[in-house]
Amino acid sequence: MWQWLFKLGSPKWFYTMSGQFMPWLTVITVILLGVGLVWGLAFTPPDYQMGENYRIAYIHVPTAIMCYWWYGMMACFSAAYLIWRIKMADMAAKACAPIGFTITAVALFTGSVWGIPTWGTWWIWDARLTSTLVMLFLFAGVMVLRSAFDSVDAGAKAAAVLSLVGVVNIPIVVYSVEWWNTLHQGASNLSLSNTQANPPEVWLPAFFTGFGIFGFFMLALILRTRNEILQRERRADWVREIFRPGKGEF
Amino acid sequence: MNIIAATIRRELLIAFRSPGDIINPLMFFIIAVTLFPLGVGADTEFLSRIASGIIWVTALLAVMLSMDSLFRADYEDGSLEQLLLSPQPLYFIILAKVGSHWLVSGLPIVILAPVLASMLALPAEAMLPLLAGLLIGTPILTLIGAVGMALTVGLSRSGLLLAVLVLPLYVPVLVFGTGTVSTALGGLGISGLLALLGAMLVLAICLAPLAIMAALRISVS
Amino acid sequence: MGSFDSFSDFLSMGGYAEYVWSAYAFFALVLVFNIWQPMLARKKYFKQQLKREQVQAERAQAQQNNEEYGNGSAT
Repeated sequence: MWQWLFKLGSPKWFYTMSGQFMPWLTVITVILLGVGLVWGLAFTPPDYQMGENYRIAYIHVPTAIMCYWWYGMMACFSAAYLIWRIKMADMAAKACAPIGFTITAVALFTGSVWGIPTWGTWWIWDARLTSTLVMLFLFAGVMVLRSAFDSVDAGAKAAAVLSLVGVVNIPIVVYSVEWWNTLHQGASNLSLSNTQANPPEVWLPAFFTGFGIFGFFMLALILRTRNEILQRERRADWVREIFRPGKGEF
Repeated sequence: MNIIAATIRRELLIAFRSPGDIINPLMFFIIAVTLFPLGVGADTEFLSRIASGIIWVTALLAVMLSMDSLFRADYEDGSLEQLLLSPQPLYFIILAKVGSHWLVSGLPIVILAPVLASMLALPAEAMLPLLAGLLIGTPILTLIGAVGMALTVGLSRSGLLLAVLVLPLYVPVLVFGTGTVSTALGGLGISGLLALLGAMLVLAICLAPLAIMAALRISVS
Repeated sequence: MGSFDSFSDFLSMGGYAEYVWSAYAFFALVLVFNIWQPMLARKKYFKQQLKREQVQAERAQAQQNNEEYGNGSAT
């Protein structure tokens, strides 16, 4: 297994492997997402309280959960880069940040839109919305910090340090915001995850959309990382081979 | 132990030589607090309800703004680089630096807070919880701010980058700090919250210097 | 079939159409952007690099020609 992990640290290996692997991932993702969305949108019964509006959950819940795990993944890459100086890890970490930002944006937007008929307002200082907003700021911070450095190397290390500081902070922030919310909201708080024993036919599509969305963003991650590899390794022979004129299709 | 004492002495000496670094954040604290009644009206009943929030947010901003004096002067004259190369234990030197910075920026804020809080009509029984929260909280803010400062000290036009990085990390301290006042006013005990804040302080003392060391090495390289 | 009586029922989402569909639209937008943007960047980068290599090849060719020409005129 360590062999495989070492290989993963090689940009060339990752590039060629991902090039072969991507079509399959695309197919699986499209199937999962397609099944989940069609099922969730058209084939599940309406909710007793929220009517058809709850269908937003099929995209809101996966993205809301995923934004935290995505940050954790970015932090793992950052740690690998700082500890073992694996350049590949930094390229992946760099690609993670903007994608994580958009995941969080989707979670916030869908949550807000869900809230308008449910709570009568598009923003509420609900524990989860507030924590997710802080998460948005953390992703933005990592991106902004990296770009503020002139040296690519310094920017990479700084972004990695910030990601790790952020990951230590996230559980504390989530806990504090939850506590703050119960202190100030009291009984009127309608928790979004207030699922009262929904039958499997309601939450099964969420599995499909969940994995489909995850696959999708992983695809985006691979695409961005491949671009990063081409740029950073442009002096390597195997990269120059790709760009030789007359080579035709890439 | 000697090196810590020497560092603290040096930092305090330098700080008192440029009184602006001490006075300016305090002035900001006072003026910013004054802006709020001007902005929301002088109704004492309303002010008393938002007083702890105003004090905490402006204190947090004042601490963050004061961070500039922490590493910048050393960075610019090259002594920061020397520090990183010295055989002395960097962990404790950094703790001493941040600690002395708190003594001249965070602690005065805690001392001034009661005056400003009573100007904002904070109820008397909330005063002690507010101070306790600030006393434990401002060192945490200084430590987190120091991490952000270490990351950005080498950048030429960082502007408000420090704020973008550090303010989201301040959220738990703010929440629990103001929470001590709310729970005290609600008649409940605050020892649990203070313990939580204390735990965060201990965590910050243990981990922040590590992040600061890594960040300083990046900035100096 | 499904839990809606008709397609127009499906579209109106029991009165919640603007919420459900705007949420899904934003989601679709983000998905498309996340795939389209790196692909566009890659195409741009490829164009740029191919052009660069071409210019370099032309320069090398011109160098060679100059040398030959120079050698020829020297004799």
